[in-house]
Amino acid sequence: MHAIVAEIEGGDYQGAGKGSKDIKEILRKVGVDANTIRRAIIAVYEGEMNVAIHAYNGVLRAAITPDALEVIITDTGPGIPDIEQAMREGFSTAPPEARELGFGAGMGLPNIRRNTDRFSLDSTPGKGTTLHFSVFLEPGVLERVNASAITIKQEKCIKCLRCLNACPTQAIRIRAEGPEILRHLCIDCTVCMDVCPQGVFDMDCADDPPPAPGSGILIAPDALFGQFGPAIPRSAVREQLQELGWHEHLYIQHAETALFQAASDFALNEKTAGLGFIPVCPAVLNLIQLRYPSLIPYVLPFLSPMESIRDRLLTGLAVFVPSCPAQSALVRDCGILSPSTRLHPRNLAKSLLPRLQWSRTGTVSDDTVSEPPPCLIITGMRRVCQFLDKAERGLTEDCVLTALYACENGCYGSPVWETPPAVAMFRAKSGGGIIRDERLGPLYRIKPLVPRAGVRLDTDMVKAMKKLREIDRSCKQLPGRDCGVCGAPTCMTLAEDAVMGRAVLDACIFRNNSPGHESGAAKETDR
Amino acid sequence: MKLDLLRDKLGFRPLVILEDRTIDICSVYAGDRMSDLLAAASGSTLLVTHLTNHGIVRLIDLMDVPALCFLNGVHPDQDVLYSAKENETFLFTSPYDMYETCGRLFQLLNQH
Ligand code: SF4
Ligand code: SF4
Repeated sequence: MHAIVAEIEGGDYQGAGKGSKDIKEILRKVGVDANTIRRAIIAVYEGEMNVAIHAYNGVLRAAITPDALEVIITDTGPGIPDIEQAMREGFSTAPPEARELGFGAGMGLPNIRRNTDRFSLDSTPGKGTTLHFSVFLEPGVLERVNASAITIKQEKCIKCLRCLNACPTQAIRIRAEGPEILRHLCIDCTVCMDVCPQGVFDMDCADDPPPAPGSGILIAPDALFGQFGPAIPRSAVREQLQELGWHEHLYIQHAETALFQAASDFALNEKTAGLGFIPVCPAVLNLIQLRYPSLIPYVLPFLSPMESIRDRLLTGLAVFVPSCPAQSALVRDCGILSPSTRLHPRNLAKSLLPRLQWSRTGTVSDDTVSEPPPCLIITGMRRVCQFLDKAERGLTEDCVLTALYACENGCYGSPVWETPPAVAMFRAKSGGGIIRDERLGPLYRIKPLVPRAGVRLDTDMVKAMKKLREIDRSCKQLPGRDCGVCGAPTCMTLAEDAVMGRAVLDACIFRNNSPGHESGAAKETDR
Repeated sequence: MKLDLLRDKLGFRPLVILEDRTIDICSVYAGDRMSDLLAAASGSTLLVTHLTNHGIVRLIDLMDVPALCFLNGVHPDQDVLYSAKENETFLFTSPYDMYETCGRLFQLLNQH
């Protein structure tokens, strides 16, 4: 890793740009391709000028690894009161002397957005602004960063096919060695974890060594409080966390409430009429990107709670306890400048359990989640898909603010927890007092969600059409029973796998062995 | 289109003397907003602008601009000239205003 630090003075239009120049030299030396250097430099320079024009002073910190250029620019200054407005092209509050120099035309932040792969902006009016962005230097980094966080212990599989039938995106195939997940289709929804009787699936932070307590700020899910039986109040759990050495903890549920509040203000204040999704569950966002891209515009422009916290805790070590693989994937790679680790919720619960065997009361001041404003809440993958199917056809326009969770009863229902979701929720919510912490407020989503190319057969449309026809033809040769014995969830998916070179049609036992496969084909065409 | 045509055919004055590199220009971008210039800069684009101040130094430093043309016969600040030499960027100044400069460039680019 190569690190660069540069200071930027407010009003110093000449000095700004030094950091960009250094970074450019290094990127050149490392041999990054010219177009990527160009994008990176535009972003960094606009970031530096942004400080020179608007702030009192600021610091640019950059790190370069073979994968990415990561930049954090923090400034003290007046801050940005309305980020959505600031991101609009042409909106500017720059002083005249900056405009004379050709700056301050309201293109700076949009220009950064356009030229970066990740970009978040955190601003407190009256205090200052932090820009955080990355430019990926290699193709394929984005896929790696977004990859699903489900792990598989193939040897435990008994081939009961439950996961195969349950996966909502048909991402699972059962091979001779056990299940395989087609990662481009997986949305980290935890359904497979939930249905598997053997515990084959888990989330990928299981094997991380638990970080030394006390070494950072702990970000934990609320469901933790519901795991220790009826006689253990919330405050007792928090007290034990402190005794374990976690002096500072934040809870994702608080951030969720803040998001609900912000979403409801947003909906009230103008901008949305009709359907609006509160981006609360990252798995649901993945699902919308993959299967319902036409609904992307209905997702309100905020980051999900885990992402907001991640982007607000850029300095100091953060230890995340994600509730599910979807959250885990979000904090797997926070970049090099913002050190963070993950801790499996099961491990955390395990280390607390012996300390909470008996009934006890806590002495630390209590906190609880304030009631979020009313909105429609739909939980569980089956119901979520059902709702989205309807929404796609325009049948849910009356559901103004809607929060969708992949797990039943929201994050309390993640399969990592043992206590029944409703019970965990009930226990976690009893308490008094309200926590207000500005680090928990939702951040504006600057890089809009984009459709995921998962189901696309080919980047070339003509070739894709050809493959589609081939799939159709192959499918007619299959019996249409969708039995799953071949290892694919449906006959159609086997046909698709065969055309895409992931399987052979001969995997179907009926197609080869039974003389009835002709009649099977007839049945398929009847349908 | 080769750069020396600008001098020979259009009468633009070169401001820095560089070893003759025959850079091929495929497009021209004219504008006065730094963000636009940054976004338009490429290895084969001639930038045309009224700006002559220090921001231009950075533009030359950072973006590998092959050539820049100022307008109305205006000469840029000294540090722009230094930076152009260092980065081997051709600088011209056109005797015309932006409208006419661009018109002439357009014609020339279409001929060659
Ligand atoms: S997490 Fe969900 S999408 Fe991914 S393989 Fe499991 S069931 Fe399928
Ligand atoms: S649910 Fe899937 S992974 Fe689990 S045992 Fe059954 S077939 Fe194997």
